[in-house]
Amino acid sequence: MFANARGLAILAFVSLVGAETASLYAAVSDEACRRMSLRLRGVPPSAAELATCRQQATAYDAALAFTVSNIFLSEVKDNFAPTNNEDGNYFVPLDDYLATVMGFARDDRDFREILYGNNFYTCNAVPAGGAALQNAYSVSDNLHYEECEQEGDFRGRLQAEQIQVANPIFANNPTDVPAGIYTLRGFGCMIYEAGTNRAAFRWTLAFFLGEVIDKFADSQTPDYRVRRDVTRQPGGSATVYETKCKTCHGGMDPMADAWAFNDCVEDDNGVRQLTYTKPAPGATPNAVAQAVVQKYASNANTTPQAYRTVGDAWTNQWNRRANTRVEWNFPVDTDRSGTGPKAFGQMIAETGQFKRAMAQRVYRKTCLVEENLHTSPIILDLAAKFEAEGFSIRKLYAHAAAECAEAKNNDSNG
Amino acid sequence: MRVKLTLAILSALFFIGCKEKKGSFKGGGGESVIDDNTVVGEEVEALPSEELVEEGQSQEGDALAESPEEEEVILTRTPIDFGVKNSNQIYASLLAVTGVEESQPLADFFVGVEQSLGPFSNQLVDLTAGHVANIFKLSTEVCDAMVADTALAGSFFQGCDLAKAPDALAPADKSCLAEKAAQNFWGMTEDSQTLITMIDSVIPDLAGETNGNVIATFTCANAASALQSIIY
Repeated sequence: MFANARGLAILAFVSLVGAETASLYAAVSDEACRRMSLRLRGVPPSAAELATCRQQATAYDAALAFTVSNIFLSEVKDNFAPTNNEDGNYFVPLDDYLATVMGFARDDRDFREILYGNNFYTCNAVPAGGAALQNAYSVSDNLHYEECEQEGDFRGRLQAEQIQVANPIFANNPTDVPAGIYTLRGFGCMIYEAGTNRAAFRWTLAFFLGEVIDKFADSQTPDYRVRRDVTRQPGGSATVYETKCKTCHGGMDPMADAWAFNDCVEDDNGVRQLTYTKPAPGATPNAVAQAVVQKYASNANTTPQAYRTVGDAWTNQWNRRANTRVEWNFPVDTDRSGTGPKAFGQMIAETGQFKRAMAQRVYRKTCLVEENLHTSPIILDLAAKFEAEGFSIRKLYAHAAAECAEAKNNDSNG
Repeated sequence: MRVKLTLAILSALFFIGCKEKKGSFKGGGGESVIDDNTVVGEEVEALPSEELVEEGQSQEGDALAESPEEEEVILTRTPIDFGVKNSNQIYASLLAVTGVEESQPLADFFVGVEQSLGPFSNQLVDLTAGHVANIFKLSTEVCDAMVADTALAGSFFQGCDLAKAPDALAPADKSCLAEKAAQNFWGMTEDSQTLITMIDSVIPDLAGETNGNVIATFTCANAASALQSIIY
């Protein structure tokens, strides 16, 4: 009798401990599910989704399930929208650039290729029960994408296409173009508009390496390729040039030559479209130099004896001193040269800092916390996972959401 | 957890009310991001997020970056890792939760209020009373469209009686409406009593109203524009 009672007591104790342990370690908590759903999609999970979420082996698995939805793609668009306009504005219509980012996310494509690949996304696919869009894709307006955004159902409509096919201006020089978003209207017409095409370089650093150009300033960089429009004596002081202007222009100008043949031109009817003026292979050096877009020669009288851009050959002299933190894909203390935006975009995409910048952008949006780009263990860990999973931005979102949901969970339990 | 969140929100709102905004992190594109660790100016992005330079030591962002020799007092604080949805996110989540498809009138309405809708970032400090009022207007438009669609309304308010006139609603009817709206927008029903209180407050003004959809729209819009929906 006593033995039976003791046995029952032990059984009851074991089952109680077991139940408690199960609830503590049961895969994913309700709170974590809710947070991940909100952060990835902006909406709480339904009862059915919550039940599924609880059963997942890890928070990452649960988070991944929340990324298979239209509203997740809207979140991706929202995160990258500030990178397609100089004001950093969220309120921008869908365009070929943002649709491409969403398409890469949906299809788990290698996200590095947005800077140098031949693929982009239209909304040409027709979802089940839907109809084709009335506005066809055009290289000279954005109506197709604006209609797509209004129709919604991005998952059903996004369709991978080839830039070279959609825009014939990039068909003749496959070595240098197409170059991902640099050869798409949405991003291109932002970075090439007016100016001197240096914006293409500056925004590349800011958006895809996560740091403004001032962070790259290096006074020891040679300035033999700083262009003619930069005065060597601003306000009469050569010292200002040496200590301020040169520190950025010395590295920037040789690399900004990558876009020597790229422009966005607006005609008399207000139609804006990309242009690409590089002559076909075999042209004489003089013909190539003549084809450089006019903006590279603007204000040339400022310093007429300085370097004149004669083509799209670029050189990276910034793999020295503090700029080695970028983790370029070539040996430290050497230069890297190439031609055109394609090779340039690939060089940027293959840096260690590109991975970290994307991890930081996603973590910032998903977890609403700013982590240091270079030293945060969270960012380093996410960047490593980003690479290990084939640079899938969707999986990076899931890892980020799981990271902060678990951290919060541990806080609550602790 | 709810208590912790509520306390956090209240303390953050208190913080906003009492303190001048002194700086914010800036992303690459100039968009703002939340981080209440921020006490100094623009050049703070080099700081690890757990670190906080003691307030009052430096009000100039550049000073931090350019004067590393100055002794810095580093404190640690757990980051406040919640924010507000920006207006794009609010609109997208409204459509997703209600199941309403974006129609031209709705799109026109959103575009019309978009620039004043706000908030324009995910920072809590960017949320103003004016934004909340505009969010309620947008919520009303979307909820009205949802309630007008019998199938969507039946799915959203599953099991609730939407035909009853406002002054004929029994407590169970109100609970049903409130709990469904809270569950759909907030993912929880613990705070649904606040919606019932709202319903009770408006019923006297609807004396003689026979259309049950009015209360359904009202409940939906209140849940959609509540802090539980906006903050995430």
